[in-house]
Amino acid sequence: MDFNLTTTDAEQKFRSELGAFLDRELTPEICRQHSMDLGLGPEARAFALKLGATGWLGRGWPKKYGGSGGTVVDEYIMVQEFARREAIVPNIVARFMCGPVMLRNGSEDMKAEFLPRIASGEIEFSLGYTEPSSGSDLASMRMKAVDDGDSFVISGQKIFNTQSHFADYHWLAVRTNPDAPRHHGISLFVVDQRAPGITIRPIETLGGERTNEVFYDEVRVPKTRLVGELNKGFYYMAEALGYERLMLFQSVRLIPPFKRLLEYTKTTKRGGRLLADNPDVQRHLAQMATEIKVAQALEDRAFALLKNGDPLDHEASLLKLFGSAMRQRFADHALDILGPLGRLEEGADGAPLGGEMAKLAKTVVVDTIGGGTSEILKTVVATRGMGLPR
Amino acid sequence: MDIEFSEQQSLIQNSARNYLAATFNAQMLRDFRLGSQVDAEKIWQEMADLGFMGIAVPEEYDGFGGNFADLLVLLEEMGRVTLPGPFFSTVVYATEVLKALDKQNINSVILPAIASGAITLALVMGDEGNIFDVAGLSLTAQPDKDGYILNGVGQFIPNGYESDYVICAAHIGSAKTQKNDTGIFCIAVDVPGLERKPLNSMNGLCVAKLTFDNVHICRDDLIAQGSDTWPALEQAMFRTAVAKCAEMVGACARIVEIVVEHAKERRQFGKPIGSFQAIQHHCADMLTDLDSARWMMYKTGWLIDEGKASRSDMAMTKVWCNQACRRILAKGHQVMGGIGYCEEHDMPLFYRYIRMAEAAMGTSDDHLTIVAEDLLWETFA
Repeated sequence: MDFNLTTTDAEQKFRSELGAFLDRELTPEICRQHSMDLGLGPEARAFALKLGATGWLGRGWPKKYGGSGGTVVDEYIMVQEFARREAIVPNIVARFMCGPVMLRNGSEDMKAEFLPRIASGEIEFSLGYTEPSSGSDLASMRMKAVDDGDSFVISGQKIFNTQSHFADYHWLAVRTNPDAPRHHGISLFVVDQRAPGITIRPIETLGGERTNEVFYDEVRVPKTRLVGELNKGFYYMAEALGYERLMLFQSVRLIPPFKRLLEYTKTTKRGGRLLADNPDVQRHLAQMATEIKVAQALEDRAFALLKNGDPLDHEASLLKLFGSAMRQRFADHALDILGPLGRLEEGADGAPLGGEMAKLAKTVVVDTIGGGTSEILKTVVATRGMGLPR
Repeated sequence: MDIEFSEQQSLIQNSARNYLAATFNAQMLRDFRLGSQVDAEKIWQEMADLGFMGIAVPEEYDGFGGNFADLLVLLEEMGRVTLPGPFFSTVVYATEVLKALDKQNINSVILPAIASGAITLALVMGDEGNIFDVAGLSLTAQPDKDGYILNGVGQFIPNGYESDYVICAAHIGSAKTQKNDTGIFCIAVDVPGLERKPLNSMNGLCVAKLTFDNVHICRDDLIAQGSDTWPALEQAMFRTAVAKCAEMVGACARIVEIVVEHAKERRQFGKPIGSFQAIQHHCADMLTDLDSARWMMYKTGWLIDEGKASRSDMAMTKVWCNQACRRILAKGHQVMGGIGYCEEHDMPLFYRYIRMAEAAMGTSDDHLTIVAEDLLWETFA
């Protein structure tokens, strides 16, 4: 039994070198551009290319596709080193969702065209899965691609495609066989996000992130941009999920805000005494810290499975269930500690911690909804993980 | 990173699961709860012969020298059958205390006797089971010309009625706040002035009230004293709290199995109830709580073996196991419906067991207080 993440000298070295690079290059402005989903500004773009140039973004991928060798441990180290600095790996959708699916299932041409540009930090993707009438029931999607010689012609609408306004490519799932059973008639395409016929309309959200509706009006997509085999798209989407869920939910991300909150309670008085001396506040803090540690233990376990080569199935759903609910509880505890002023937003005079907990409380609302609602995930855990009948 | 069980741990798991499943049934467990001692000695000896008692005893004291995680693996199996009796207080609690105090002259006598199954022990520490507050020790020891006079009441003492010996922490002298006056005594239970009374708890007669009324003990019964005594003791108690979590996780793992089996078989509205989302979601919640508690527990066990576990790591583990196991119980009962409320079913065994375990080796409140204290005075990493 061993819970050490890094076990080899090469892994240790990678961790410390990457950490030093991030401490030097990662500015608050870059982090802000990432987390707000507002679009990559010039600083974030430049940072992605700089990271790409080190070769580290392609860590874990084969060298012939622009990778730099290494293992899945290195990929996990990368994700964690960014998370502990409250940052996100640049071009994360391309790097951790689309790229791995291409690597496993894409044609040689597609791999040669896209993977090196992902590893270099040059391109980002946006996910095109959800439709207005196909949310949790993703297999019911209706957006359609019609075979027309060397290409497919695609029309229809997607929604909640969060990065489409700045991504270079759309990772698009559409129906290619309307007569097949639902799961067997969907295919995945890589579409130039700026192709003629695509219209992108912004949607503002409670948490302040921007997301989009994306409309396709007879958009022509070459057949070479089909990912893997025709009509297998639904399985490719599912295949990537375990990996994504582990890589995206890093509870270590909560440690810096927790430390700021802790410091705030040690330096702020209410009713003549320090918040930190209030037993109720102490209770909230202890619970928050406990839950972060528990989440880390669950992540360790999921990562150990992945590293062993065991596919993550219901374990990934379970991890996301836990992590999303935990983040919501975290925000609740924080607002309870901060009291009325905790509801003041960034820029308001007297907002504790610059209003960050008010912001967090709004953004975590979507955590139990996006990327699989908790209800869908519980059904997955119960049926696939516990063998209950469908 | 490889969080799989070692070969040794898999062996422990298999041997314990097979033996315990073949030995205990629900009726026996109910009888034990009500005070039956039928086969108790035979079972105790069989467990000793299988090596259970010596698992965490160092080899130089005739044990197997297993690490802490090995012990957790065994305890998880014991939790699955809600093992009654003095195993935990003897092989975990007392052994951890003795190992932490590290007095060779004492350990060379007692630890081999524990490993062979020859003796059982109970411990008297703080008031009402509060084990983490040095000011709250239950007993005082007044120095006397040839020894000490013990006075006080040890309340809620696990296996205090059946044990052969009692290890007691006492304030030497009368002042109740100095940490460096803690003395640890090991006394035989037949000493005059010691009255032991079994108490009927939610899980039957597994705890006792021990009253020390001018108990005269000789100087040799003092096994440790001085400023390093309390820190050593504290360390042992936190480790024991994590060990308690392993029992709880084992019990809850079994609850989840029982509940899932029921949900697959029980039919209502023409279908297995496990096909209804309301039931599925309860089950998924139970597994989420179980997995989180289990891996938190093993990770902390590993940290302990690595010498890296902080007080908070161990306290957080008990906090989370208490909270998660409580939810598993509640949801488990909900899915089982009426039959799970009947004493003839296994669920009440688990309910009673968990309710005692969550109060043993520190309540959630005790541990949260400790976590908060460390958070506010030390660095959270």
